[in-house]
Amino acid sequence: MTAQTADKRLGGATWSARLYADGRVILAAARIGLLQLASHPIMLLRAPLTPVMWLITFVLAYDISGQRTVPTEDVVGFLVIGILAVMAWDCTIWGSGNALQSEIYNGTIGTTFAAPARTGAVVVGYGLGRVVWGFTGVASCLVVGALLGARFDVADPLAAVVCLVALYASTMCVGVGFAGLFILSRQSNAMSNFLQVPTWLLAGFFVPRTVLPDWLHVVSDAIPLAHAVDALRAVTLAGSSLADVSHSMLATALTSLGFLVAGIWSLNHTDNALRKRATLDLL
Amino acid sequence: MTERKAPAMTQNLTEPVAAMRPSQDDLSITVRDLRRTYRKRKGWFRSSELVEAVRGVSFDVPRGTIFGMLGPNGAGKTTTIKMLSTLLIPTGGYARIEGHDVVREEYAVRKALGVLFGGDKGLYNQLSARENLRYFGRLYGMDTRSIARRSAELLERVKLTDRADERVESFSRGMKQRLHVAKTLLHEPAVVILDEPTIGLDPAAAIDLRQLIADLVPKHTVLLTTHDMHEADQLCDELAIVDHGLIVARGTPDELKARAEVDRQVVVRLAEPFDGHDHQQALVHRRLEAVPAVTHVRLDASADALTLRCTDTTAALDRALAVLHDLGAGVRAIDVREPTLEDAFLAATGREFEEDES
Repeated sequence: MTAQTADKRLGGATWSARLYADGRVILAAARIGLLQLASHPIMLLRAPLTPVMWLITFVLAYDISGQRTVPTEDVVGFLVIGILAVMAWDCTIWGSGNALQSEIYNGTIGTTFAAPARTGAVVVGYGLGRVVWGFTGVASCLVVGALLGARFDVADPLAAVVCLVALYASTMCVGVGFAGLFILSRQSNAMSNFLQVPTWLLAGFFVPRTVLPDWLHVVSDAIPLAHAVDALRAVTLAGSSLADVSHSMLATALTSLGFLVAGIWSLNHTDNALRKRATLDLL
Repeated sequence: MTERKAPAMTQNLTEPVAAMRPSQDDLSITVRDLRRTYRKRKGWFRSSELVEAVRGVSFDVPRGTIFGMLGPNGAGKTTTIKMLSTLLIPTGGYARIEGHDVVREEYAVRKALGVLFGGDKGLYNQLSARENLRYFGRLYGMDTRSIARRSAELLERVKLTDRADERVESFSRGMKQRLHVAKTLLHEPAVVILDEPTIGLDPAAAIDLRQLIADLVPKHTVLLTTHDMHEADQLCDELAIVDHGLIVARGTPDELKARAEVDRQVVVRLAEPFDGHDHQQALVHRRLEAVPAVTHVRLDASADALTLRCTDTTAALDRALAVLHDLGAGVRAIDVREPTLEDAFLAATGREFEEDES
């Protein structure tokens, strides 16, 4: 695409102006996502309680099996980080990934596509809204985890924050990666559910990745969350520094980038495909 | 209710009048030979059938006027406006909104357009009217202050100020539709596209909304799709009758009705109903259809009124009354019905307008 064409397509707006506008759309979409969630009283209860229920369930399962530790970490701390990863996954795959599906449900997809705002910004905004929504769950999970005896060993708090952000960012990239596919397939919920449990298993949310057969490690290594969870566990449970987990962080960044690029491509492709295919019931 | 009568700047498709054509600068919308085919997919193996939804549509809309697209469901109106609003890419032809190509300059087109899609949905029901406007304002790149100012103005204009902070799910259909209009006008678009805006509204709400639409010009240019003849007649400066993906007639409502005048209707109300014998009714039909100026005869189910379609009202009526006198039928009243857009549709397509056609 030539610069002249690009400028014409943007109606004379500069790229920096559009990026600024994208930022505002992201915040606006995050806000309405939050407002919609907050409009359901049951969701207000569910946000802090669900992760705690998950945590208690898995702690009991480990207890019953007599397994008190996993390699280098105690079980409760290991599971707390796993639950945080589940929450990050929920926020992004159900937020970003299902953003456009939810627009279809609301009947606002036509208006959203007919507006000059970029679809990607709306998708990211919904994901961000779910991330903020999940904060109460993060807090309740940490508190209950501590009460159940989780032993955290954080040598570098900044490293812990960076790894937590990396975890959310990587799941966001996975969410964006699937957004286009979700809307084209029109099977968003089914696909989210289909992807969910294998991802939990392959990314080592509840069981260490070391127990997976060797051939599955190839698949597991391609999931950004697997590396982000490894890094977060190392800095919060084993006192590692950022330097110690640099290879996990690099793997997180590279695999996330892959999903992000695929997501941007697929969202652009979705936009064009929808407009070309004339799937009238969708728009 | 404001009566709008057209500043006739029309172009008959079959009789182009170059001198009457506005210059390109005066046109908000230009559409040439616009086409859209799509594949209707079905079954497990996704076998598909090619459907021509729009088969070469051309029209211009001068700035500050209301242009209507009138046609039954499935005529191609919504597909046309989806192409104009950049949601669908045409498979042929081109369209420009405020000089911007709908395919190559979609960002500029989207900025210039406000689109109201038909139907019950399109708003966030769990949010308030004000929150909805705030979000849609952001999608159009508006800043906080402009959104607040425009929201206040528009909520007042659509008479929703008192309900602005209530959830949309508690709104009636009419209120939702008025909020849709506010949402559509929020970013002060040059061109407003309204797809079946009064569909499903009760008569009072429809009257309110039509008044609102009438007030949009000349500040905005309006493209209105409807299958409501009365609405089209009342609001539009110029109309295109669309059928099976084509514009089959175009002009001001008065011009279209005038063209249909060949089939003016006369309703003759009888003093006494005809008796129920088929042969008697068949005789009435036969005698009246033999009258030269009469093209069609219909006896009402109650058998006490005859509807005659005729090319020359005076000639037909004289002869028809003579026939009825011969048959011993007394006449109670005669109504000469002015041609309507339904007649125009019939004249253009050769069939009655059916709303449920798909």
